[in-house]
Formats: sequence, structure tokens, C-alpha cells
Amino acid sequence: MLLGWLMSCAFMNHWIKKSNLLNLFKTLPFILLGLTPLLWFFGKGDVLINGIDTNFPLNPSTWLERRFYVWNNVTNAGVDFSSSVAGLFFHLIQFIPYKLGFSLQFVEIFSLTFWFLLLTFSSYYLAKTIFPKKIVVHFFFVSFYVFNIYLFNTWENVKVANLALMASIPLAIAILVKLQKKSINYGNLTLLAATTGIILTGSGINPAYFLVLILVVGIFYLSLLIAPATNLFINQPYKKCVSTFLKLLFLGLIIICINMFWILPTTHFIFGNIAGDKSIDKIGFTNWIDSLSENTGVLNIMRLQGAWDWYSVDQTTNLPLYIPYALNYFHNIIFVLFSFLIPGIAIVSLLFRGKIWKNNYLSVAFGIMFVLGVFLGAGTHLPTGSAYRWVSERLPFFTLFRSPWYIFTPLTVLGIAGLSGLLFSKVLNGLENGKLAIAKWLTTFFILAVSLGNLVYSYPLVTGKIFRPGRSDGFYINFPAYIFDAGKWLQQGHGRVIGYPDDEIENFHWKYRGIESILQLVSNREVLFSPLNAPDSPQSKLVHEFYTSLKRRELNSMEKIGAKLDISLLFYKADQDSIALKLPEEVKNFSSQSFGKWIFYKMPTQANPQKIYAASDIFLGDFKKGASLIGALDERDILLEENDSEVKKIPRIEENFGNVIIGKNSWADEYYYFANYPSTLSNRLQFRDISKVEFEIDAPKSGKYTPMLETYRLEDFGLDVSKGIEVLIDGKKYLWNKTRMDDSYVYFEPIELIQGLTTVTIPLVESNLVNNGNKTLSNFISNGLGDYKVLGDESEAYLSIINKRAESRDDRDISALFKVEKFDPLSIYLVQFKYKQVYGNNGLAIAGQNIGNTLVKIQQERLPNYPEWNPFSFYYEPVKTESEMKIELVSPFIQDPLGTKILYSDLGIYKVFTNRLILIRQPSVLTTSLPNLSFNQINPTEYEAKIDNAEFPHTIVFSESYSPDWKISVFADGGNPVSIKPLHFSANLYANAWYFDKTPSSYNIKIYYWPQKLFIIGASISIMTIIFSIALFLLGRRKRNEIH
Amino acid sequence: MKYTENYLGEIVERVKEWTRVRQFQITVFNILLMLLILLRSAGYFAPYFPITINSIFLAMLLLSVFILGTRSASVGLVAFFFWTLAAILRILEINVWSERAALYAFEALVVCVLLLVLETIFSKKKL
Repeated sequence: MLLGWLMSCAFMNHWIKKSNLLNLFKTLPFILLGLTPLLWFFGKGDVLINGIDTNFPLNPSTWLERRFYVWNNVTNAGVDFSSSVAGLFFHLIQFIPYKLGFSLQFVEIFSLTFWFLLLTFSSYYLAKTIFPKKIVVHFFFVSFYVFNIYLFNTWENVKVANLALMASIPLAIAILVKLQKKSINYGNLTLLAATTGIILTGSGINPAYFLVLILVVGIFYLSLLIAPATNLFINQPYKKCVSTFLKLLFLGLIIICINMFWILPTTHFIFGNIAGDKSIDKIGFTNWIDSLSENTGVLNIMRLQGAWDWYSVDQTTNLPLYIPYALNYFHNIIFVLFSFLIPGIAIVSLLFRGKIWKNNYLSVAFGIMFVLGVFLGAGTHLPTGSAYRWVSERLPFFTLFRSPWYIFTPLTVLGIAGLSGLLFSKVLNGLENGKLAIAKWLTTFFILAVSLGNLVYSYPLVTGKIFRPGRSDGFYINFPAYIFDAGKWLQQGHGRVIGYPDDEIENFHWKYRGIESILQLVSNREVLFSPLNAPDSPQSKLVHEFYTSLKRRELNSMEKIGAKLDISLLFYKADQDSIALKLPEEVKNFSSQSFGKWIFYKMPTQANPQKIYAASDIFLGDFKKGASLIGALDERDILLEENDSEVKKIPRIEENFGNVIIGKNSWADEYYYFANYPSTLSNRLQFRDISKVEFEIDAPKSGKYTPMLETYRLEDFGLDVSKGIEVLIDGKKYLWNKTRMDDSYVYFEPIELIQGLTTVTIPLVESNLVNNGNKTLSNFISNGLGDYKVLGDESEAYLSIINKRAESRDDRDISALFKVEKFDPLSIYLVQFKYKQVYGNNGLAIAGQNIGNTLVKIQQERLPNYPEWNPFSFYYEPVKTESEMKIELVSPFIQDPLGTKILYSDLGIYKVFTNRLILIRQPSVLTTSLPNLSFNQINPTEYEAKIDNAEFPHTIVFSESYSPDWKISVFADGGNPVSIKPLHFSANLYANAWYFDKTPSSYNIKIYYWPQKLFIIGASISIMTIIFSIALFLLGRRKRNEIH
Repeated sequence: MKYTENYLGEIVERVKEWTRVRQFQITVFNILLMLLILLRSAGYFAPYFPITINSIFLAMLLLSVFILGTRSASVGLVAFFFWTLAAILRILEINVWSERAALYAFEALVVCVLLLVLETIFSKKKL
């Protein structure tokens, strides 16, 4: 029906050209295409499309509000939000129907349909501009531009930047073409530029997309310059050429000025905070360019099949892990053929330029976009990838383009759509006056068939299968009511909320999955979580430390870390699918508030010193090890970096500040190298000394230090601290007597340390955790048919395992299986044994965990071929979940009829002593009186505080992520500015701190994030530009009316 | 049918004429091609600059522009040929060959677009 409709449109065109009815008739297919999002919700019930990167706000008001500030205080102790303010227009579209009282589902449908229609009509507008009077070509162009595989991912995650770019590219090109053709008056052109600018704002979320638009416009303009028909240098006088350029510049300026509200702060952020070289790594973000470029070969890219998630498959079943419909595109012959068809048509377009060179600039422009899009989209995939990498390593800030396929494929899409459209247009033009009417009919039919075929080919986008309905990882979510109640309740309180379980991806029973805290969707309350994107950031390390203390039941330490992070609530998600350890019973005794399956435990009050506070005692330490030290310092004590140049400027630093150091644990150190360096045999073919642990202490200053030893499971190592522990300090024996103890640390009497290195040795008595500590290997479970024998005398007993082909009926490895007793998933384990390979295949040791029949983790260690008794050892770090741990000593299968014979003896499994030894030197002068401080948050970028009783030098801590852009102004009580410029430095690894000396006893401060001023300046420019554009449009219209 | 025969005949004649005029250039082109293949088979310049089939293809494509005066449309035809080949190989699930054919198609496409740009710049045609 649609086909007939479009064909009738195409052929009725010549006899009812000026009819408005026909125009509507012609536009109807495009309206229908634009309403595609309605299909996504058809028959799905009261659901929302949400999850992972989609982030549809469940409270659009708060999300819009956040877009007015360049600092987002909600996420992980605050983060610069300069580029994200670019989402203002996008969220305004959601805010309007929400404020009008429509349901959230309606808001989402409205928002999605708005963008789909925008995409459809902007591409239709361009098609009409470059292929006038060719409705079938318009239909093809729109069909391919709006429905293609690249956009699957864009829509699946509702990527604002991609949508903004894809919607504004056609408009920007149309401006250029219309400017060149002079087919539109200047007022309208200005309004069109302003509209493009507004739509484009969303691309600022990832400024790389904004640069892509500039690239597209640049390519198009250059093509206009060089093409014979439009060549400004050949066909137009110099003055006219300059005039055209100036007009283009003016329109470009309108677009840029409208985007100024995010351009100003983002430019400041990029050039002020990010290094040009290896930018992405230096800001702590994961550089995933190589993994993303794994499947971006030319063959895939030219067919727009470069998304990494298409190629993630289950190793066992070989089925796609994320994209179920990808199989059709890989194996269905019709789909495979179609994937080659449209790029093929684009290539053919370059063969037939036609006799008329009028549109040659279009061939040039689309041709360049096609090849450039493929080249850049391939990223670091070889062979073109070596050139990309070369550029990436040399061009400053280029590493910020860490997702090349996602960023540059709009060029490929436009190139293919444009070239194919040109070919169709040329063919139809050629047949226009020809005698072969049937050829014209057939061509029209072919174009429509390809266009409709493309809709079928893009069926996941048309039908909403991109959102994986019916699957456990689907995006159709029915949000339970209690999360909205929780959201409202959270708005009232202060302090941060940290979630548990601590998985990087939240996966709820009711299907919602997210990489950030779900609380961000429903409220503006500040939250902390394990960030997937920036695992090495200081905040991330502290959050990790908090969780470790919580799991180890070291609540004292947990509360101290919580205080440094301004945590007031522990958010327990009982509806989250997780293998994380259960919440400790002690936490369940905290006062709490429940909403359905969500429980918010209130952190004990004394551990919550507020976001802005005056520091008590100050300690200097090494920030690289700082995450381990924070939990040892009292709530209001703070840690400063000992090598910070600003900190060193503080007078009498040695007297006023203490030191906190951590001993280098020889065993933990050895494990670290084992786990983090390439696997070698040299660090495995040995027995390890388990009788002691050595701590290397590097004291920065001579003096008395209080040793604090982490209490976690000390008894497992034969340490009874109640009687004191015997230690060796640089080889001399001492007895450390306990002074006090809590659930996290045992404190000993202070010891005298001399500046420099000191070694503290603690003897350990470790028990073997397998076979009841018996090394004779008798209590094993045989796994598979074979000859298992314990041989030798009692003192030198060994286990012989013979795996003969005849006995091992199913030709597989056999093993002796040992269960680890008193298994603690929070400890690291050392496995060591002796082996002798008598004949057959190489031996194998397997350490692993399982929950019932479900395998959690497995680590295999292949034993080198060696016919004599040989020691072997390795470490195993368990997955932190309630499970069983087992060790298997394997006799592998071999084709040889003699089989394999391996002897094992002296199997020992021991916990690794990773407990920390921290030493604290108290400041010479202890803080006796602290100033009183009260504060008020004006907005996320501005705080006011009043300080009283400030008699002595003091340090004020502001627990938001450190940035040199946080500024402070000091005012006297009357409101007059005071000329004090306190030193600004980072504290507690992540926060801001200012050191005040010689202040009035009572004063006020204002802490503000100064790039917010750039936002205000930029926003003023944006608003003025919009007003100016509208005024110019109205002026042009009035003039036109006057002329008429 | 007769129309097609005539049309094909005309093409054959034009190809013959084209070949006759460029006999020397075709000889040089073939000699260079053979030389590169011989150098590759003997492993010349490896490991510093291994001559791969890919580099031979790209070099000959570029040399064809200078020696034979190839135009963008002809190179585009090469691109189309390899793209079709890639499609056939992909349908036959010979993915490695298909990937390679697609790479040749892309390389030809790059040269085609470059030539198109140059032809456009140096074209004397005006509206």
C-alpha cells in the first residue's frame, strides 16, 4: 500500500504541483516514519525504556535543574559537568510534558517521538534541497539516514550527542546548499541556522560530535569551492566569493554562539584540566579504543556493523551475549546481501557522474565523507588503524576520541545516503526526457523496493527489538512504586548515600540495569558508587576501601572513611541480583528507613562531620597509599599529601602536622607482583616462607610512632594480641603491648623510629587449610576414573594419579580434589605443593570457587614437564562471594595408551597475611580548640559558611572533589571582603582544603566553582543570539511583506 | 539484442583502440607489476618494509593513474568489483577473503575519491 502511495506521489507530481493537499500527501510517509517510537511501546503496557546508558530520568525536573550548573554534586563527590549542561534542550523536551502533569511513559514517548520526527524531517529537508522534486529519492534518503544499523545503538541508549548530531547535520548542509543556490532569503536562513544551533546543543555532551559537524560542514564547503559549477574562484568575482564566505561565517557564528553556554565552560575544562598527550588516560578514564576497534574492519564498517556489542558471544554456545538479532545480520543470506547493496550503490554512484557537472560538488563531498568516515570509524583496527594510532599519539587531545566508530560513522551514513541518492537522482534525470517510460517506472520501483527493503533490514529499530523485549537484559522496565517514594524521601536529607551490594553494574530483579546509582534517576541526593568508567580515581579508591571495611566487618574504619566521604546513609538494595557478600548483621542494627525492598541505614551520627568542616589533627602521608590510611584517622582528622607544593608552604608544618605511614607488607607485595606482572615460571617454581611477614617502614621523621595492626582474622595466623606480640625490629626482639583495640585496628604502645628505613618482622604460625592440615594427601575426592594411590611412608607420603586411556572411559583429565577448610572469600590464598611427572602429559593444578553447581572462578596452573620432585606455588584471589573453594591436582588425559602418571606431595594451602601495619606520629601540638562552622548550600556551585571562634590557624575542608577551579572568598561579619588568600590544596585524597592563618575570630566565606561564571556568560550569549536570530527573521519577513 | 551487440561491439573497439595507443605504458605497467611480485616472492626489504600483496595492489593502483592515466570512474569500477567479490565471499562464509576483498575495495575507493577531487579541481567545465 505504502509502495503504491509513494509511486502515485512520484507520478502525480507533475499535474498537481501546487496543491497543498499533495504536499501533505507527500509528507505523510515521512510523518509515519517519524512516529516509529509509538510502535516501540505498542502492546508493552505501562513500561519505560530505561537502563545502562539510557538514563531516562524518573524525575525530569531534577535532571533539568542539574543542567543549569557546571558542577554535578550528585555523582561520586562531585564532578565537572561543563559538557553535560549541553543536555539542557534535550531535557527541556522531557520537562515540559512532565510539568504539564503527563505520565512518565507519555513524557518518554513524547521525547523519543520528538527526536525521531526531528531526524526524519531534517533529513527530508536536506533531501528536498539537494534532490528537488524527486520524492522517491527523498524517501530513500530519509529511509537510509534515519533507519540504519548505526542508529540502533544510538536509540538503544538514547544517546543525546549522536541524536543531536544526526539531526543537525542535514540542516547544516541544507544551509550551505541554500546559501550557494540563493534559494532562501537571509532572514529564513538565520532562523534555520538558529534552529540548527539549538538542535545541535546536545552534541556538546561529547564535544567530539560537535567537531564532527564542523568536519562535515568543512568538507561540504571545500567541495563547493572546488566544484566547477560552484567554484567560487572560477565563476564568481573575488568580492562575491568573500561575501559568500562571510555569510557562511555569520551563519556559523550563530550556531556556535547558541552553543556558547557549554562551549565556554567545556573549553575551559578541557584546556585547563586535561593534558594534550594521552588525555583520556590522564583523567582516569578507561581508554577502550583498542577493544572497541576489535571488530571495526573495513568490511564491517562499510556495512555499518562496527558496534562492539554485536560481536560479544558466549564462549560455550557461541550465541550473542547482548544483541540477539545480530545473528540475522551475520548469517541470514538476504540480510548479508542487503548489507552490501546500499554501500555498493554508493560506490556505483562514483562511476556515473553524468554529463551534467552541476551536482559534482555533492559527489565530491559525499565521496570524501564516505571514505573518511570508514577510515576514522575503523579506529585502531589494522591495517588502517596504524595511521589512526599515529595521529592519536601525536595530535593533542585526539585520545578523547576513544569511541571512533560511534563518533565518525555519521560521516559514513551521510556519505552512503548522499551518494546513493545522487545515483538515483541522476538515473531518474537521465530517464526524464527519454523514450523508455518503462525504465523510469522500473527505476522508481527499484528505489522504493530498496527503501522499503531498508526498513525491513532495520526491523529491530522499527519494531523496538533494539530494546531486547522479553530478555533479562531488556530495556522495557516496569519500575516498582517504592523507588519513587524513596526518591521523595531522599530529597529531604543531607549527606551522601552509598549503595550496597557494590557491583559496578546494578542489576535489579525487575530488570533495570545501570552503571551508575539508580538513585540519580529519582532524586538530587548525592550518591557514591563504584564507577565503571573511572576505577582509578581517588573517590573510587575510597569507595572501594569503604566496601572492603564493610565486608570485613571493620565498622570503625568504615565509619571513619564514611565521615571523610560525608556518607550519611547506607543504601541496601535487597532487590538487586548480586553475588556480593551479605550485609553484616552489625549494620542491620543501625536505625533505618525502608521502602519496599530498599532499606536506608543511617550511619552513626558521630561519623558524619558534614560537607564543610574545620579539620582537627592534620597528618601528612603519601596519597598513593592514602586509601589504606584514611580509615586509620579519626573522623575530623585529615590526610594531606606530603609532597604537595602548596602544603609545604604552610608555616611550622613539622610541628603542627603529624605523619601517617603504612609498612610495606612483604607478603602482600609479593602477591601484588605475582598478580600484576606477566606470568613466569620463576615465581612459581619455589616454596614460599610462611613463617613470618616483614614490614618495611620508611619513617619521614624521627620520633614516637603508634603502631596499628589491622585486626582482621589475626587469630588465623597464630597472633594473640591480648598477650602482646613478639616482633623483630631490624633483627632485635621486642614485645608490642596492646593499648586498645577496636573492630578494625589493634593499637600498640608507641615505638621510637629513626628517620629512614626500618624493618619490622612478625612471626606467624599458619595452619594448612586442606586435609585437616595433613600433608599426606589422603583425604581427597577422586574426580574421574583412574588409579589414585597414596604411597611412601608417613613422613614422605605422596599421591600417585595414573590416568590411563582404558580406565578413563570418556578420555578426559582426572584429578584429586581437595576442599579448602574455613574458606574466607576476603582473604588471598597461597597454594603450594611438590610434583613429579613420571610420564605422559604435563601436570595441572586448578584452584577454583563454586556456589553449589555454579562455577564462580577458576585458575589453572600448568606444571612444567619435570621428571624429578619439584616445588610449585601460586596465589589465588577469590571472588568475594559466599562460596566453596577447591583445589584440584590433575593427571591430564593423553592419547598415548600408557597414559599419564603424576605424583603430588606436600600440598599446603595458606592464607596470605595482607593485614596492614600503620604507624602514626601525632603532631607536637595537638588541636585543642576548633572553630565552629555552619554552612549553607546555595546551589551545586556555591556554598556559604560562617566561622566563629577561629582563634588559631586552622584548615577548612570542603568534601567535594578537588579542583583548582573551586575558589574561596573571605568576608568580615559585616559583609566586607577580607584580603586573605588561604592556601588551597587537596585533602583526604579527593577533597578541597584551605589553610587559614591570622583570620578574624569570626568571619564568613563563600566557596564557589568559578567556571559557573563562564556558563552564565555563555548562556547570555546563547539567549541573545536566539533573540537576535528571531529578530532578523522577523525583520526579513516584514521587509518582504512591504515589498509585496 | 542488436542494440546490445552494437553497444558491446563499440566498447570492444574502444578498448582495442585504447590498448593500441597505450601499448608502451601497458608494458611498463606489467613489468612493474611483475617486478613487485618477484620482489615479494624473494622476500625483499623484509622485515623493514615487507612487500605485501596489499601494498602491491595499492602501489599498482596509484601507478596506473600515472602510467595509464586511469580516471576516477575506472578506479571506482575496481572498487565495485572488489566490493561485489567481498559480498560473494561473505555469502560463502569465507570471511577472511571477504575482509581482504573489502579492504581492496576501500583502497580503490580512496584512490577513486582522491582522483575525483583532482579531476573536479582541474576540470575546465563550467555551467
